Amino acid sequence: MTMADLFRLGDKEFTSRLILGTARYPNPQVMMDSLRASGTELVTVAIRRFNLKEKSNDVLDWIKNEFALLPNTAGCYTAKEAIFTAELAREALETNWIKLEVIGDDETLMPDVVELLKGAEELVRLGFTVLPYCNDDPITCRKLADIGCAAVMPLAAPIGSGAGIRNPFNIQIIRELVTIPVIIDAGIGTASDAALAMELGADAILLNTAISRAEHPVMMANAMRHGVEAGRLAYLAGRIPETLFAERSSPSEGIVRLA
Amino acid sequence: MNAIIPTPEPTERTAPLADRNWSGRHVIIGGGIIGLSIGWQLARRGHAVTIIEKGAVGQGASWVAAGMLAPYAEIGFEEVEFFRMCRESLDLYPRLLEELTADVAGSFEVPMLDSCGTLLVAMTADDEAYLKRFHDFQLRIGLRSTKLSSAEAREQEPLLSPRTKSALFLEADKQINNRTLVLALAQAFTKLGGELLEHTTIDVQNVESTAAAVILAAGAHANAASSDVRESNPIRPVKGQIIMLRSTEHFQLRHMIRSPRGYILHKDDGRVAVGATAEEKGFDTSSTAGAVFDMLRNAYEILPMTYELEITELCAGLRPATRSHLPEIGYSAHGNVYNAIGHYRHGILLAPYTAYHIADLVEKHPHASHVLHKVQPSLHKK
Repeated sequence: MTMADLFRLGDKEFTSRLILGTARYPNPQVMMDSLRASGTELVTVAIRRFNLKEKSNDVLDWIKNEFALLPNTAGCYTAKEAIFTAELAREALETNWIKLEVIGDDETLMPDVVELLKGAEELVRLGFTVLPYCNDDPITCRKLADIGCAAVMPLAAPIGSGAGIRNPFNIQIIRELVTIPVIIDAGIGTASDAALAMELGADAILLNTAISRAEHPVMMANAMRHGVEAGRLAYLAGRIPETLFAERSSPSEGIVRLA
Repeated sequence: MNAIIPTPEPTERTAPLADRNWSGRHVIIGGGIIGLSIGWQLARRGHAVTIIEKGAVGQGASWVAAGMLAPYAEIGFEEVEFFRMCRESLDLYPRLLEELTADVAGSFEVPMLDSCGTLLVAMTADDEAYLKRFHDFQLRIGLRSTKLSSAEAREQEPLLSPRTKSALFLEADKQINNRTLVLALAQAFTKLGGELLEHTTIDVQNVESTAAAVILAAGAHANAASSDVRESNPIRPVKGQIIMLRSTEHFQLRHMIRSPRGYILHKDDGRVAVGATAEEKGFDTSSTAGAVFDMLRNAYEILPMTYELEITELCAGLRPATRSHLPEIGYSAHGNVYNAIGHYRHGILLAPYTAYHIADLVEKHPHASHVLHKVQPSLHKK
């Protein structure tokens, strides 16, 4: 890779294009080893999972020591709850970055677009760097960009499903419609999904379950790191066009004939 | 009857113990199932033993626990070596119960080992995918795991919902009444001459110079009792909420029932334990609406008849967890200090293993050399 293919997000720059979640790991040791193996520099944590009233929390402190924190509003169903959770995170964790999640129900965990837009607008107004988890809908993404979000984070498939990129065409349209970073958030199942998302032009990938619930999370974290890097390189390198017929790869002239 | 909201613990006493000369006694810090079983085992081997407990004995995580002895249902993909330790402990249970029965000599109830097995049920197609992966893993490492159709599962467990898709039967898992067990251990311990100091806290440092051996078994509170543990292998509390229902004559379960979202157990005293959460909430032990709702919904979906049952307790315990979730059982860096900490979800299951191994270590028993100081996670691939 060339020297400076930096990932710019908000007022920060990252070398890694992989953002990881911290839920559902077998234990904190495997979680930390996986985060390290993935090369990630930005890690998202659900504010509701922790008791922010306690002075210290072994797990949260451990993550904070090594990675930039991206608090998220997982488990919120209304804009109001999400805003309250973001404010709690800002106060307790001293960051104005927030991954905004406002979900419509707990079967699909799909975003509630109306509440999401409302929440995003208010949080931008309150000075947050807003990273909204959203549907892979180009118009929603354009609206979120217009509101002033720092990135859009369309899902590839439902959270935790590992179903891969359900609609690659929408991801490409979103890439064309917005100028802010596009981060594929949710639905990645394995390394090739991450590579494909990057080849489609995503700026980064956010994932959790594909690593945390793998049989061997550290190994899968390493695989994801390579998947994201390979996909990014392929995107930058410019792939060949697909053709119907074979394209001879060795010249037919000047072949030595043994006669 | 137990109150739904647990009463707060009485305030602790610290004062005069710090200067006490322990003159060769074995001192155990922590009177939960781990401290009690070690103390009982040392006492029956003829040692002078004191257990120091910050609350009342057996009333912390040991009381709230469900009493599942289910290493086959709980094995993780990278925990094969740890599973062997759990299985060894399960195999030691009959010995422990036999010795305990002899010690209380009819004056107190000793619980029976219930060889009921686990039924791991799939309620959705997605559950089935996870069960299949688990089943394949168990077969790969040579464990017995029987796949049952919906009809077969419901024949084995008639109260299962007709919407059950399929199940795995893990026949070697067992359960025990952990509440009767801790009370019996405490009874046997004092009967054998052990000294029990409740509502008392002490630091390892204050004891180690005069005691013959100090055994740290302080559960989720181990950090507070030992700066060594705090710095080298810190223990944090992982909150587990659980609900106790009361069974009726029509609500009887033959097995422990689990799904990827929780478990329902029928205990021998008529309790039906529905659990459990795993939360990073520090020392908070409140019962919360969402967790209770989720657990009851899960129970209702699997066993519709739970709808009718009376709620007798809402409670939460603090599982003592290391960062690897593996226990530390054995020598510490200090000669006469032993650690029996970090049992996480497996305190009841690992009590026999811990008690016999720590007692052997303290007695410098020749067979004690194979004790695992810390279990390492293992990578097991096909």
